[in-house]
Amino acid sequence: MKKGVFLFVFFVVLINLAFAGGVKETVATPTSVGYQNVLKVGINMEPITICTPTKGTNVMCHMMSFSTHNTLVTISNEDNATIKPCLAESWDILDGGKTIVFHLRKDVKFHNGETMTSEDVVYSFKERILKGGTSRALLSSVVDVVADDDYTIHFELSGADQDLFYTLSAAPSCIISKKAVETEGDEGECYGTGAFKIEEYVQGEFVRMVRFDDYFGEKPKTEEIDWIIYLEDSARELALETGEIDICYSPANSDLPFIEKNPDLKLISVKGLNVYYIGFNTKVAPFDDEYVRQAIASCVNKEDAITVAFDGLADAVDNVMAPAVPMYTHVDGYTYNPTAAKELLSKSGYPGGFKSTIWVDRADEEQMALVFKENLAQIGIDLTVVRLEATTLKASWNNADYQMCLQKFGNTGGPGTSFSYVFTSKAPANRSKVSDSNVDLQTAAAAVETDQVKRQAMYRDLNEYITKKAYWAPICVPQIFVGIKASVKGAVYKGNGSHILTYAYIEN
Amino acid sequence: MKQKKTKRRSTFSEIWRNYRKNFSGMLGLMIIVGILVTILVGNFIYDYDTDVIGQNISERKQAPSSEHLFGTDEFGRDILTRIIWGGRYSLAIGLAAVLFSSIIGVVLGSLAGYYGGVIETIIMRLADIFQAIPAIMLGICFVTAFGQSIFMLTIAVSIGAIPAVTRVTRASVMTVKDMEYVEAARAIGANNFVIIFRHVLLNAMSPVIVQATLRIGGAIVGIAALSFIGLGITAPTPEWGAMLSSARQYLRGYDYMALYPGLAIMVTVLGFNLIGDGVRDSMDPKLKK
Amino acid sequence: MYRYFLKRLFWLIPVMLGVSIFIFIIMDFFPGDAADTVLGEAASQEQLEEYREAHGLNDPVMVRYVRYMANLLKGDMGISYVTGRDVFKTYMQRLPNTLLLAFSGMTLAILFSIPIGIITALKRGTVLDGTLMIISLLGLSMPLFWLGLLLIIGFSLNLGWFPTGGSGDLKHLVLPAVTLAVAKMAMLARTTRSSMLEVLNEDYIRTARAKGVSKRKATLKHALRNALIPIITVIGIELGSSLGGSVLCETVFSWPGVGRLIMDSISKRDIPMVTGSLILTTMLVAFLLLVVDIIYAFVDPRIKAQYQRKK
Repeated sequence: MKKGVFLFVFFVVLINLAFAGGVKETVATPTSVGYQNVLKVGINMEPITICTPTKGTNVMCHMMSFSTHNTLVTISNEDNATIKPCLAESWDILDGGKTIVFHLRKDVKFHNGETMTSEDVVYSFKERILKGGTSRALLSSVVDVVADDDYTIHFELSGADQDLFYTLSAAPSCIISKKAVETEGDEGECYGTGAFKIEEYVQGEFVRMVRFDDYFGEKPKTEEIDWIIYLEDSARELALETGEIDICYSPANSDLPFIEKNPDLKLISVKGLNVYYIGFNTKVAPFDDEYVRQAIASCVNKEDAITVAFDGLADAVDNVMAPAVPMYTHVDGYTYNPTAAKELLSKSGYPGGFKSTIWVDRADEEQMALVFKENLAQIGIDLTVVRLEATTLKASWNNADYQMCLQKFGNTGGPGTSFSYVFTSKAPANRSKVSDSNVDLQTAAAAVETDQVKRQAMYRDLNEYITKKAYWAPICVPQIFVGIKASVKGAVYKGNGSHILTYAYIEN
Repeated sequence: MKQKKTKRRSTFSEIWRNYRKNFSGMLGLMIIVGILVTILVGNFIYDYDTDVIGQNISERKQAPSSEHLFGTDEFGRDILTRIIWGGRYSLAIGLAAVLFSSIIGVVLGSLAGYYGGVIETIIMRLADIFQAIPAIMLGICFVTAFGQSIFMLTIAVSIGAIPAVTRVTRASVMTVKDMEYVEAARAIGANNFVIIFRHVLLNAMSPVIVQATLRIGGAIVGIAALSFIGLGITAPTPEWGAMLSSARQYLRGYDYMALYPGLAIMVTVLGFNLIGDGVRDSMDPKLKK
Repeated sequence: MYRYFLKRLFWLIPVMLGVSIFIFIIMDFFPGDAADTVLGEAASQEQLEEYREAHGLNDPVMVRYVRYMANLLKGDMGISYVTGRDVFKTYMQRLPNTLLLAFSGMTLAILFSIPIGIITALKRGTVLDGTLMIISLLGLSMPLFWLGLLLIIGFSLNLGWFPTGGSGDLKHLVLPAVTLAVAKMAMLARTTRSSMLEVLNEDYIRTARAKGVSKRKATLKHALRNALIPIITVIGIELGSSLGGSVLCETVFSWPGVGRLIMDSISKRDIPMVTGSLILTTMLVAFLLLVVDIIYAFVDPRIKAQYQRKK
């Protein structure tokens, strides 16, 4: 009797919970007008800064904010180099490049109904982006942003900055509503000007975006995009196979054959922009010795590492600049050659080798580091692979025991960013603690060079200089993959993983 | 007095005699001895650098065959070799963790049970606090705060069990301290410390020992769990839980990578659970046939 | 008796205090902080410092703790350092998922283990008893996360019956619930069996049998009722441990529950989220154990008397 009551209560509770609380279902809406209403995208990370895009730090947030927010300018999808107007209709470059005037569109509306004016643009830059936004590090040349009239603003720069437009087109440089942020605080940033607006965000589960009917640009064919979080790669890819989602972001390499074999699915591959590299703490011995770095760069078997970590789906590189970056010119770098490595090491102050540690925070980095551990043992270098938590690693760059690291760098800006972000003394992600006046001067000079041919040559020289000095030992650039239903059209897939899905649609 | 002693406390040889007759206990003992012997033999046959962590990229991801009985992993390393070698970490940390939590728990529990009063309140409230936080969360916090050295991992795994041991010891001590032979000891003038140690503790130990043997399995799973979520033993060291973690990427098509390390854990824990059952049955006067 | 339970409730408060102090202190030892998580790797030292000043991360532990407790007394658990959303709301959003998983697992376990426990107790010493006990011992020895992986391999990847993870509808619940249930099933079956065995040997059962009550009636009516008592306690304890210890199950199946929330928050150094979630979880579990104790006291007349004797 008691047992019966007990069980009954359990069932009641169970049923209640099943319908009330924890079960979230995205309801399939009826289709109309020839296109599928809802597009479902499976993503692999929690887009935690989706409501504060100026502080966006992960690729997921960047990708999603391209649908909800806009920037002053964008980069053409065809050549990844031409600047195209977006929120700014046109611009004038004056004063040798030190002043840029932007003429804003007059028909832009925010999701909260407000019309965009120069006030919003100035506020976006001065109070949000330049005050702590992600783009701040790349906007060091900006001295002031001033509103000239309701629809005109101008940037005052400390010097001509050739990469500025790239930075202005990046997702964290988006324009937000001054009024919204002033009344609602940080989360007021979620009201963008983009083709979709954020309807709902259930942490850990999904983000729902609905088409914004007052969008100034071309209206998307899809009415709603659901970005569903699948942290497990295999779960996400399976969801694509079962039809639960239409687009699968970054499927695991081991699952790619299943997508290829499936006639209802299509595998998209794009040349990547992320460079995996070995960084050296050049401020401590033995990594202040050039020969040591060069020896290590010559002793790492990149092909093997790629086989293990990427199932062979990456391109080995020997330049510090990624091949897909605009203005890239190939120079000779160090390739796997243990004999040459031994020779180089013998010229250094440590011919017999030494013990060291290499820090990583991701599984693929760890796998590659383990392969290199084997390789480097051949020349007497005893490497211990230390896998740290991401947050711990971020806090430890200034520790005295930092020796080597294996990290990745994705260039999200112009060609200059390949150097100004990681190799100059003021670079934000200078993992090799490079403090080389040559690098600083050359990078600064290239940043203001208006002759594009000369500029390309300068980047070639920089590339060669840094590659030869082995400040990094570049390893590979993985290919970027997306799994989609074969019927998905209209999406643009980018090498930095920040695909543009705003205009993706499925015909009925 | 002598009579009362034998009524409560079995001597070691008596316990052993009972144990030998216990089927599950002996089976468990055989399993664990078998595992220990395998690990020991493995230590001499295999070389760490070539066999255990040595990579063989061309032979990677091969299904079990006559050459590689359990297959190879993503680096081409033989999984059977790694499992045999990896056993030492699970066993060592598992046993050390149980020893650690038992010692601390017994000390605290005895103090609480014997002295009562403020001491008891403080210790039991502290035990409440640490028992309130789920054991795995405690482990995660410790490891994140203090690093993943073997020493820290042992402590992290044992922390969650200490409150329970404290409670059991205290209850046991409280039951025993009122028994006649303790009063008698006091009557002849033996000092407090002697009383606690010799009389109270030794008689209160049986539930603690039984509990301890049953907890070894939990500690082994505990270290595997921490390694599974990435906060335990790090690569390339072949700890069983860590091996399960890296097998997750390859579940589809290479499921043997997940099968064998888990099997190793299960068999080992089974062995210790059987031993635990055997110990409990041999020490429990009520179930004496 | 009510005074005893009130006393227990009262003691919850210092325990919660202790838990919150412990969390603050130990998180102080974590390398890195929320600034490192939120601001990404591009942030310069100044940006990091700015963030820390703005959120009071540089203040000493005690100051931050007092600030936190002051807010807590006002009913405010603060906002997440990482998402900026209200801690309490976020926790409450995820709690039903964990509850659903825990209750489903428990129900499944009870459904199978109690009958098995009864049968093996009645048929003690037979082959059936031995086999079922061995199986339950195997279930007890299996690491939960391994079982989960095996189920995924078998039923999700190979057979395609269930999804490999996430939540959504009943399909997503099956594998995680079964995984959770197996270990509990094994434990409960063994507990039920030993409890039944103890009771079946008691005098009052023999008396009932002597009076002519059929074996079946004796079992179900008398024995089970009394054997149920320790079983209820174990159920309660196991339910409590599921709520807190569901981390592994939630990790393997990407189940959006509270366990994973806490784990993610720890790795992101989101102190308000961790503290708030742990306090709420602990409160829930402690409350649950108290309820179990109350049921226990009501059900067992012997205990009832004992509590009435307590001062």
